[in-house]
Amino acid sequence: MAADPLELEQRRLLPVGLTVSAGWDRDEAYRFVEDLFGKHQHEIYAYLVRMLRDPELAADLAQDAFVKAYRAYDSLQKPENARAWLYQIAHRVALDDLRRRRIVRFIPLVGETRNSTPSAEHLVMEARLSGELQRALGRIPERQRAALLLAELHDLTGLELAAALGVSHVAARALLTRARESLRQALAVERQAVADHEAAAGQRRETRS
Amino acid sequence: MSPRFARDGAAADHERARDLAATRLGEALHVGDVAWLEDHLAGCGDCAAAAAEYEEQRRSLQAFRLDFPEPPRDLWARTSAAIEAEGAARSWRSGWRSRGLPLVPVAGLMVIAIAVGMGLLNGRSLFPDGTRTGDGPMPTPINVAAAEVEVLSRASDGTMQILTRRLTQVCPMGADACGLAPSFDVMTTATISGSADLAAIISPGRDRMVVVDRGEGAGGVYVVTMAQSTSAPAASPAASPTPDPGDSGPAASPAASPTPDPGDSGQPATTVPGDSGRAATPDTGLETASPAETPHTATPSASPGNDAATPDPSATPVPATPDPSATPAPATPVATPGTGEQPTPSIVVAPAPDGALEIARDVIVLGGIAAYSADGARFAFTARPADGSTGPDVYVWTVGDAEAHAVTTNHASVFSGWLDGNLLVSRVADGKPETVLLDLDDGTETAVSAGRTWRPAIGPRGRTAVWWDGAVTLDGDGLIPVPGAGRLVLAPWPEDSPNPQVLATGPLTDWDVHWDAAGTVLAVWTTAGKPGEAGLLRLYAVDADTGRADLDHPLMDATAAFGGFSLKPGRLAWSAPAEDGEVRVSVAAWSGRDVGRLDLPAEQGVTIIR
Repeated sequence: MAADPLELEQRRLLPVGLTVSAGWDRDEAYRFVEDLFGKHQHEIYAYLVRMLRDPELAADLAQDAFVKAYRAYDSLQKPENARAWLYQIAHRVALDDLRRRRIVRFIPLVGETRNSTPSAEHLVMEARLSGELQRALGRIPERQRAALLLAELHDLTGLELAAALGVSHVAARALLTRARESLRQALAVERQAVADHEAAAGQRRETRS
Repeated sequence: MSPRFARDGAAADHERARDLAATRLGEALHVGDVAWLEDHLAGCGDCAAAAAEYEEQRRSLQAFRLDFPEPPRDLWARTSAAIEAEGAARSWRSGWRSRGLPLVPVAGLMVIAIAVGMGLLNGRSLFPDGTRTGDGPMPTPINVAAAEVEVLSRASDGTMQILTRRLTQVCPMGADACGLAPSFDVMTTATISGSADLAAIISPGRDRMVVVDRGEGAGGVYVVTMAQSTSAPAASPAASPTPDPGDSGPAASPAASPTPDPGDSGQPATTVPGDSGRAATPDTGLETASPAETPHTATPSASPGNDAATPDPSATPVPATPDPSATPAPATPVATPGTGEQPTPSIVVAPAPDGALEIARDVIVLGGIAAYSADGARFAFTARPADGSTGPDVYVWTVGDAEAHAVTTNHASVFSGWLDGNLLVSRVADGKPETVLLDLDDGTETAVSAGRTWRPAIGPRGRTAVWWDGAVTLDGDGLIPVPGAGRLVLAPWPEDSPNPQVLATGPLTDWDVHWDAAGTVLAVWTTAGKPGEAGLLRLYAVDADTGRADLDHPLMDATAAFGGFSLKPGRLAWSAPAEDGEVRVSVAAWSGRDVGRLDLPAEQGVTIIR
């Protein structure tokens, strides 16, 4: 099977993005993250909510993302890139958690205890973001979902999107294109499922009557 | 055009149309693409429908654009507290593992809790009271020649950290603690992605680092350009001129006179144009070596040296007999050593915004034998195609080249080491092992052994070597040479000794042997397990005159270790399994015959930089 050009592109470019970090100042890092938090907390939290569909978890991971930014603040070479850099951290945090939960899912003894009982806040959020679009988003691969969310809801430019996803501009564009097609197909599946459900319900009603 | 091609062409057109229809939502298309797309959509209802759906989905998504959920009101309070905890974590007196942040699941967090001492404490020790918590007198640390241990550690955010521990003291062998901080004290960062299974080999001049990503199945080999700097960052208290009294003992001791690596001597930060230039143009397409391609005769370079024959003047050999000139450890131990005042970071990863140089891809790098030539001009490793189509060949990357090239073609060859700038290659020919010396400049081969000798590691003086004395067969798929019955021996070289010393007996699945530059210290790692499993690491003193190791009194007896250890002047570093699947970094260091050890607990994802 031919190698996926996107994956090849990423494999070629991912071990990159080297940054300089020769020193680390605690106070400076704190001020930096405090400022970053003030400017971007809403969108980072929103992004994580949308990726994870769990506001409580999103809050935890938003906290984690800002702590990581604190740790690594001196790896940011250009302040104007701070937003994309922060998204990149949040993105990786989200993917790490999704991967971890995917693993956990196969270990019944550990289970998904965290979300076994949805919180009230969770239910509200689900209602707010529910619908076929949300469900379809949940069907597509996580990285594609991230690309769509970042591009369409969080308004990242092409270069920012590439930085946030940690891939080249070309790879980010390809990922976004694939994401649109995946979402289109997922929406079709959702719509078909809804249609099937309604048809079955109608049939039951007819049977009862 | 055949019907088959016609169908394929139509399918490709539909795919292209959908790609363009999706792409145009985010950016402008080329004029030609716009025209082509419009023409295609006009004649293809399905594609037109898909394009319309893309636009509709975009509108639907953007309807949520302003619908930002409100973060919890206490988010900053929690974050701030976690950051404070982060700072506090750097001054833990005992233990060293990173802890989960409050409320944060950290299963994927592999970052090491590190002590960035210089930047945080204005010269105060991070561990003023040492690390010992038990009762009774604390063992006395051993002063050793200054040395460094470097590891790569990955955080879950993708940040690859280079952690450095500078050593001037270690604990006596067998002591759990002796007041030394079990931590790293310098951190530089680089964002490097890849699998968790990495190997890292730094060049002799410390200007490059080869990162081997063994990956899951297919891996790659990357060259990362590095620079060196000892200049203090302006904003960092690291530049504090006030030394930490607690860490001044070794500096005052002749036995601990710094013996930094050759390249670690305060040169201004530099980059290597040859690499960065290539790395800056990744989209031009760096062709990688086809594992089965024609052998490449490397371009002559600046006289690759003989790493074996050129002893490192900074080496601190361990004499076979106690060295009376060695300065003993002070009678009064330094009570608060550790990560106090130290020089500023010596390694800075050079900016390479467009990427490291990938010198091989879609290969499986075999074993742990991969090394720079003594002059750093070339790097050799053994690899086979990721698709498993052939067995291994030896690859060489020459500085300045875009890729590594296979220098053998029989698909049953492995890299054994460098000798006088030439390659030692062991291979199976006609079912028998043999080793040849391959001159990279003219491609000529010289047989150096035949029969039962496999993968000789020749000592620096060229008079002794360690090799596999036994059978070598091809494994189950008939492609990879593996040792059969036999033993790992140390003996004079060439093979003319009737009485070799046996270092290990088979069956072995892998081993790795390194000499110090003077040929008086020998580290031997052996395993009978599977790749990735721990083996046993031993450290021996070798008599400079006889070439025989003191097997009865090893400097360090068999110790569990993963492959990929690092032997540098005055110290040996390795990683080993710890509890709960974690990986611990350990170092043994010596001065004369005084050998000590320091354990640096870590988590998963740690790679010793060799």
